[in-house]
Amino acid sequence: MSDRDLLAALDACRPGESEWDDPALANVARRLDADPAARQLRSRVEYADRRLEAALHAMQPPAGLADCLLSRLAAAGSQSGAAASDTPANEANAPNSSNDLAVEASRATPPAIGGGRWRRRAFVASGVVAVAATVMLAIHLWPEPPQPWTAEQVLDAAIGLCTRDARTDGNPLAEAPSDRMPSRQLIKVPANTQWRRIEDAMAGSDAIAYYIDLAPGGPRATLLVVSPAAPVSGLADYPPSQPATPTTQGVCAAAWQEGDLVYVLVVEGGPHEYKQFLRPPGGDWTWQQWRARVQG
Amino acid sequence: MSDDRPEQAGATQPQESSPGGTVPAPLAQLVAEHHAAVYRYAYRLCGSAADAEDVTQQAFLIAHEKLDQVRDADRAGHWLLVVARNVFLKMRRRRVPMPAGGLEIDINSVPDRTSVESAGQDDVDAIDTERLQAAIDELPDEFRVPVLMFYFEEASYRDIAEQLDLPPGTVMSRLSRAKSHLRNRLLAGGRPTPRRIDNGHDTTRLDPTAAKRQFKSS
Repeated sequence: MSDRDLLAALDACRPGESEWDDPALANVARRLDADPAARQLRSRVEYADRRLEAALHAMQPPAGLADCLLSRLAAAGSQSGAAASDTPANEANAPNSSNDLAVEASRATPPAIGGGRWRRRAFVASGVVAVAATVMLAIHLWPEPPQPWTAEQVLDAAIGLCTRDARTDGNPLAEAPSDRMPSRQLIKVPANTQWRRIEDAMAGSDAIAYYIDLAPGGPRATLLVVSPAAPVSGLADYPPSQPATPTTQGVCAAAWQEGDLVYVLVVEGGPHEYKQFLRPPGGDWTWQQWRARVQG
Repeated sequence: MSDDRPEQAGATQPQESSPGGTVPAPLAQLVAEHHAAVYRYAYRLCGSAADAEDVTQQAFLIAHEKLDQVRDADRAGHWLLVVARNVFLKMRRRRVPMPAGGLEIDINSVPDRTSVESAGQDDVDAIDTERLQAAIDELPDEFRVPVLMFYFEEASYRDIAEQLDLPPGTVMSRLSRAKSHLRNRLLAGGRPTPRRIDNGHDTTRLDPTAAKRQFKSS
């Protein structure tokens, strides 16, 4: 377990609670038992937490806020009482034992309004409601532009998908959609890789899932290729050298974007396993240089 | 941790006079006991006094509507915090999500406790409240809400995952990245988050939105 994963676990757990009994954190608990440096890090994290928590609470609300709230609550009660008085007279005068405030407010309101005036109000109100309903319907039916997705949202969706989606028999790689074929110059995709389509996978789009096994009993990963309906921001245009998430639930993941396709590699294991799926450039090559080379 | 359905606390209660009229006594008691905590949470979430007051007011208006459902007065404070958080999230629902590529889990952000203690710094006074809020404002909502739930609602990462409907691993990652950012920004011994310098000026120190742009560009 890397120090980064240890810190993520320490930051997530509350001090003094029994979350270390969680099987998902068994490796963290073992490391804490065995490693004095890990215990010292936990002590430092908890100390930093106490300082931050104290600072977060060390502020006073504006003077008079409580009085202001009480006034507004009383006014809200009066309005609900006034609304009750706009109902026909025999209902307005009926006590409402389930709502003391409404009763109190209705006592404070003027006597019931005459029938003709009430009918005019009802007519105007029904017109306003009809217009409002029309406007709401128009807003509802008007197509909204898709909201952009963040890299975080893409990773969340992919990890959720892969932890829910049990591997099933797929189709041979040779039959995969040509427009979604993973770039085998950037990612290791053996010839016997299987794929299948997952409907409505993320960002309103389906995904092609490639189930990559590097070797029998070796590292396994799922590569999702999506053509998202919504734009995605914050992604690199090449596979990151490190996973973007810590190893949790036994997987880590990274995402990148090539043209209008988003690739998410969800690897069973940690950074060590993740790197085995990359085709790293040798020597001092950067990914950009490597990419330029393989594309050139 | 409970959801935003309150426990029952006493329905038919005497009214109590207030500056603006009359409110039920249990509601007045809720305001007196919890308005400060709800406001603090709302302020940390929103980053502005005006929005925090709106959220606080909305939370108590909802409490007003559901007062007859409140049974367990001991849990009312926690329930109000959950209501305030939901009001805030509803306010922000239509906001365009902000990338957070610059937020990383940073082992160097954890201050060395012994060096801080030997320097004789006071735990709370060492953190300037304006700098604290500026650091929180730099966090996208996806990170700010979990970390404030951790500190204010005393929620475990599993509670947060359940409440926000996120995978637990995602919550762990977000908590750690958000905390690393706060430690880097605020605590002695933490390594400062790299700042972008424009024309000789440290823009992120002056303008929280500049830091957000920094995350976006990284």
